[in-house]
Amino acid sequence: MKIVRADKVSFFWFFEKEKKNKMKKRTNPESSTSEAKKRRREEDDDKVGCSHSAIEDGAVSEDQCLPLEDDLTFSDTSVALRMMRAQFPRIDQASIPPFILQSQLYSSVNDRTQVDRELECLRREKVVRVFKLNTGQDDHAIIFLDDYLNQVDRIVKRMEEKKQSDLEIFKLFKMHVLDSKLEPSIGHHELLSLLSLGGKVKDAHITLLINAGLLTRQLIDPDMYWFAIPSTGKLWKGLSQGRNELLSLIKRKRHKEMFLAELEKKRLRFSPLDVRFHVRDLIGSGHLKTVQTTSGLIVRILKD
Amino acid sequence: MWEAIKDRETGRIRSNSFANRFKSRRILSLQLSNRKDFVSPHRGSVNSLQVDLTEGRYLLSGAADGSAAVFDVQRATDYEASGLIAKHKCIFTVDKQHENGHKYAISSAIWYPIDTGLFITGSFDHYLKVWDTNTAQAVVDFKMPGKVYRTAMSSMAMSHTLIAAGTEDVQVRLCDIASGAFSHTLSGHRDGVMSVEWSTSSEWVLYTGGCDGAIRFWDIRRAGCFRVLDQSQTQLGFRPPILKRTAVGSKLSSVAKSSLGGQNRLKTLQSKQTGSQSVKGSSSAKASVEKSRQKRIHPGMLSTLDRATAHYGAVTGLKATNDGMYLLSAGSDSRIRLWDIESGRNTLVNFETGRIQTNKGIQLDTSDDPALVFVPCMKTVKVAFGMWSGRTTLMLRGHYESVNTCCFNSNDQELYTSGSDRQILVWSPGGTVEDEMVQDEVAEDKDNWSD
Repeated sequence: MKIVRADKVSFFWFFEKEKKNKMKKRTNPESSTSEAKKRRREEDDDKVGCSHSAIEDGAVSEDQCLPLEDDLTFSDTSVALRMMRAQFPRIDQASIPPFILQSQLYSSVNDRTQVDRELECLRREKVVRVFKLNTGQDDHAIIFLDDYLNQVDRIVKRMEEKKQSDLEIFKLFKMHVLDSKLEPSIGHHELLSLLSLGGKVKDAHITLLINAGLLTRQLIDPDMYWFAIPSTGKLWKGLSQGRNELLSLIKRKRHKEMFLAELEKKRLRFSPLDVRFHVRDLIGSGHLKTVQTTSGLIVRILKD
Repeated sequence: MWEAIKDRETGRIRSNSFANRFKSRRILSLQLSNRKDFVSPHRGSVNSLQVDLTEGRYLLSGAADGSAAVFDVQRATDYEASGLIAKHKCIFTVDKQHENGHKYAISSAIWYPIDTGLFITGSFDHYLKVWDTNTAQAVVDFKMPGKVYRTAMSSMAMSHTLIAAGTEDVQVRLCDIASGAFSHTLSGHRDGVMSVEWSTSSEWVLYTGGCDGAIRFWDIRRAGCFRVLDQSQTQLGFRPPILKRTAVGSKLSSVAKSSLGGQNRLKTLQSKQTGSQSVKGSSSAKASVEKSRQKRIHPGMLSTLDRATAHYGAVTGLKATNDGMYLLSAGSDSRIRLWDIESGRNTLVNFETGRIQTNKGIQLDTSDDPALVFVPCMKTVKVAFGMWSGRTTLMLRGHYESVNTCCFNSNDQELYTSGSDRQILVWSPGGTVEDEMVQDEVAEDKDNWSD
């Protein structure tokens, strides 16, 4: 809720400040802050925290960001997570919680082992939750637990409106399963036994959970389920299509490279997420690399 | 260099660190050798390389055209360019024309660990053959139920001469050379077994990685595996932390939590069974089905119910470090994981690989003293990582097609790699010996007596 209010304030502030006419309502506040942040991001990964405070305060100019950074006591991964969550593009049609891909974390913090270990700590403290996606080889989405629980509540409310019965299974799910099972997958028997802590559970209840989108069956193993984020199916399709589109955009150029500033102005046709999101993701997964040149950063396709 | 020698004499640096310093410097300057070359007789992609363990002198290679060849690494057969480039031709090769040769591709060729008198080849024609090196004849044949993906013999075996063979069948077979028969089979995997590796700390322990993504530890003296590695059981650091008592919520969630942190899967499966019996809320029908299912299985085989995966795809390569403490595994999900063998946990070191090939097994290698890992990544790039940081120190590009194996010769600090382009390449430290000696002296040469 806090973020929404701050966005409105920053919207007006940046509207006055901006000379160029980028009047796209959805991504305007984020994209204008992102340009400057993107340039600085490549130089110093640790300064990312100041953008978080910039959005919150609204009236702080970007030059005054630097001293604020000393006050932030997050570890690097945590800072990166919060910053990227704040920059998540706002998609008005669907209610999608802001998520961060693991490859984005790898590209914004220097040491990958440190990212893995800090993510593990955050997961164990139940600050974030990690989900395995079915797009591509090793994709994981990281969501703050509060956002995920809000999304689950939204789904429950929607199902209540449709006059579905037996909704306390969702409460049981939240209370018992989400609390104790921190991995992205769960076995059938373990699920049943954890849910049974709150009363009698039948297979029909599990079907209800699958229909709501909270669980998906694994293709390899009929007895295991993946945890999933409800009502995000269209988003994953958009994610993989957006990746392909961005890569083909750069591949079509003669030398297979583009200026980052130029790339950020483009809009993707097939993906609801913006270019900045996809560029971070592709750098982290090893498809693109950035090179510093005298006229700014260049993004290049990595040959392998 | 002279400074370093003087320090060693006076005892300022220990002899181990003295040797390691030079080894690290040489390894970090690895490049495609311009002095040594193997003339590869193979007409198919080279799938397996091994330098013999006793002398480190002979290199055995197995290729996809059914041929296996032996090279002498130290003495060249002839010289070119007036003695500057050493060409190593193969000493002999056994291929399809040989009367007992393999009919299809050889996937794995290893030396007998005790001496170089025997070598063992496993092939896609379902046969595992033991050859006599001096007469180049096949001595023993073992028929397997499926294509042989990998074979391994324990380098520290004192009381057995068993060959472990991983095939496309779900069972791992142990073949005995002395008797010429199978000694026993290890079942527990749910798909073919792509990589097999004996432990470097115990002659009875075998590690296998399967196409189902699981890595299992077997003690061959017992039935069933004693550990299944789970990628979600992690530890942050080299050694596991001191165990804390977790808060006990409901009875079953505490059992579930202990199964997350527990180390012995057999114990937790049995305790889960008793836990489900004691909780009243559980649906009784399910509990009895579970109970009866578990009752039918031998307690040593409870591990077959354990479905933990170490990788999201197939496990394509396994390598244990020489000190016996850590295990590296490469998977077709393009991840390399470092496992602590004692606790069975993932140490969460992130190795920045691009993509690893998914259809074939690959061979990784490690070096002890500068603690490096050599991994063949997809096409043409062969990367050397620092083992604890996971960062790439060197990218070696030289192959025209994807690289299949790496073999590191720690005596000379040379790396041999082979790939699908039928070549065996040698990577040796750049620079000559004279350069190494002179390196430090340039800084020392100060004329401090001139005005």
